[in-house]
Amino acid sequence: MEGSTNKKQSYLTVNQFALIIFGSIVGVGILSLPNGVVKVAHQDGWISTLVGGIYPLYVVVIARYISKEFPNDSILILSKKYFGRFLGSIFNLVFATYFIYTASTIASFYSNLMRNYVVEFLTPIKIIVIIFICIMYAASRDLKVIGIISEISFYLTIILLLSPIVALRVASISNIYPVFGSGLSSIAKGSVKSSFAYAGAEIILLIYPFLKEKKKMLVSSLISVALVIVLYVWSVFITTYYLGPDIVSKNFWSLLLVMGSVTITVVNNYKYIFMFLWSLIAFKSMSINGYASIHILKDFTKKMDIKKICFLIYPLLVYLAFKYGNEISRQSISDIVLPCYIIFNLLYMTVIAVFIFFKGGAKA
Amino acid sequence: MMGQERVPIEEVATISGIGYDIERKGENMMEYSIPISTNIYKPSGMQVNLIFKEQGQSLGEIIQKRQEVMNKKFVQGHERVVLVSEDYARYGLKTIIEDRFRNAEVSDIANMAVCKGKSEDYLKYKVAGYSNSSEFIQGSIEASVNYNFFSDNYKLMDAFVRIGAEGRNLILPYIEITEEGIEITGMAIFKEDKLIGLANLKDSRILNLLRDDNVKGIVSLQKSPKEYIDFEAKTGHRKVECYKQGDKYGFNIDLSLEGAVINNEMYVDMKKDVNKKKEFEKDMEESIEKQCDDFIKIMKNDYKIDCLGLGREAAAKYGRQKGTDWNEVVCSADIKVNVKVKVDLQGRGDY
Repeated sequence: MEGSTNKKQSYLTVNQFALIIFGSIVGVGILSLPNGVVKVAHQDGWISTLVGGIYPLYVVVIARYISKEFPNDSILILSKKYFGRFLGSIFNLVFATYFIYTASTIASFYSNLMRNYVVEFLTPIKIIVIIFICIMYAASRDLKVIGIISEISFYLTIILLLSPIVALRVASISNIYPVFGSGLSSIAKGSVKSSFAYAGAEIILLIYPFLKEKKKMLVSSLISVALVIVLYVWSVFITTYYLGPDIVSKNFWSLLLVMGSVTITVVNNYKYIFMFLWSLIAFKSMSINGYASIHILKDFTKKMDIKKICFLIYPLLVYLAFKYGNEISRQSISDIVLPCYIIFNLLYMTVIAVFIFFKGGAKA
Repeated sequence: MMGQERVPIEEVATISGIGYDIERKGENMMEYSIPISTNIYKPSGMQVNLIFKEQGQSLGEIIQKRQEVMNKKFVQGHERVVLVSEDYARYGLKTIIEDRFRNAEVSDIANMAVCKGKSEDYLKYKVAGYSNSSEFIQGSIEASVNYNFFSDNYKLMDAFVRIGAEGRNLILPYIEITEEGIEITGMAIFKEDKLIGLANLKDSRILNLLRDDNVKGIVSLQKSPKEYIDFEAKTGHRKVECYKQGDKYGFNIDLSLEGAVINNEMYVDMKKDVNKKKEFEKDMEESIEKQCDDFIKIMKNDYKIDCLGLGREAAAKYGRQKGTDWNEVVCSADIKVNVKVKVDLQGRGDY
């Protein structure tokens, strides 16, 4: 196979496979997820988030269909096969820029967050330069390494996101009522908004050839996506529940405000512990995206060493992350760019699936 | 944050309390005045409390001026109280909330209170046995939950989630310096971010009883100085039922008080006689209901706002973001209070 090159192939366990998908979706973005959704759908934001979960489910289903026909070829090979060498390569390149964009926007998000709360005295460039050294190191390794990082950070994610459970005791359920009160059109708008937060599930199209037990692909990826949806809905729910629909959008990182409700003996301010541990989760999702972009670029330049690609892509990532600027300008860029990418991704994989359907899974 | 440069504790001034005062100097002229109470640790191990007070046209100007007289690095996040003078509260909390909300370093769980006169006097006040008065004020706000039906919802965070929210209004403890020292003498009632009324302690008890879940306090019945009964009660979850008849809203508030009789000089043989106990419970229910009705009358006629959070319940049932003025709705609504009293314990005996 083309994708596997001449190196010996290391396979992912089912667990790692599922958790890479999980890790690719759940990143720092969850801290500000309630903002956009609740602004549009008010107290029904959590319903919108639930509906928005259709997007990753769709990606999983499409990936399952493609992988059934071509279990060993990732979408990069298929795109060249069906669109032709030239057009296919262009689409693959766009797909690579999507991961580059995601990795850099997370870094920008992270540096904005940290500079606001903790390291005010650092310039963004200093933070970003250091972050990407770590990220590139992780991404330049095997997919197996990314898998293990995802596995470790998964447990951390669960513990951290469930910690605001104590807020249930403080506020009142009337903040969530009336359910469906904001109207179907608001909920639908909120769903579109929340579906962007699920971006990242596309990684499955790249990594399915590395899964050894292909039979378990659908179940494992569905479980991991379902888990993401549950956690997202929970985060939006608890934020609305604790703050009320009117207050959520006032804080850039509203979920962090809820963390203030967690009081632990001896610990002065849980928020900072949360942020410190959440950094690891941010690094993980950046690594996954970094890996994906390097992996796609590698497909173009077969002869080039992975490390050289890392060195080439590093300044680009730093430059982009630096250019997004502060949180408001980063968000306004993201509001324009991300929908375009989501539409592109949807078309890209759907068209390939349609090609496979009509032309049949010709012998690979 | 201290992270940026490591400095020994002797070189920082940690904040223990902050006050907000305002001085009106004519129609559109006014000056902010911010006193802060700081703790400074001496190399000898001694701790001193210093007050820095500056005035300025904006809150930023005050920070600048403050540094001119401060010889140490200023560290935030340890403030125990945020005091607001009555004048400032009447002017509006908007600027304070903006100042506190934007700053990521402040403590969201600092207690808030409105004070009579200038907040500076309260921070300066020497309380015997305390190194600073902020600690004392925080303590008295936190301890107030015990006997006067006060809740613990007077923190900065609570102000954040109430001021901008639909159908909710903020109330804060009102403190005064009396002959006995710093004392909580009532509640300050806000409409949006502006103080519009003060409730005395008697009304405050009923206000808190009606407003919050799980509060504790003492209610009494008395015929004469010799004949009285005290009931130490704890309320459960307040149940509010909201209904609509035509354009008019109505509310039923169900309160349940359960607790112990701590003094009984009125109902003889209550311990043995079940009927006597029932009689007491009934009398008590009527008495509390009457007090509640009286307060609701005051609320509707004097304050003219919904300080019981009923608008929030109505909004949760009949829909939000419709531009309804819940204060008006609640003040013209039928509000009925049903009280259930249940004597649980009667102490260790009857003497």
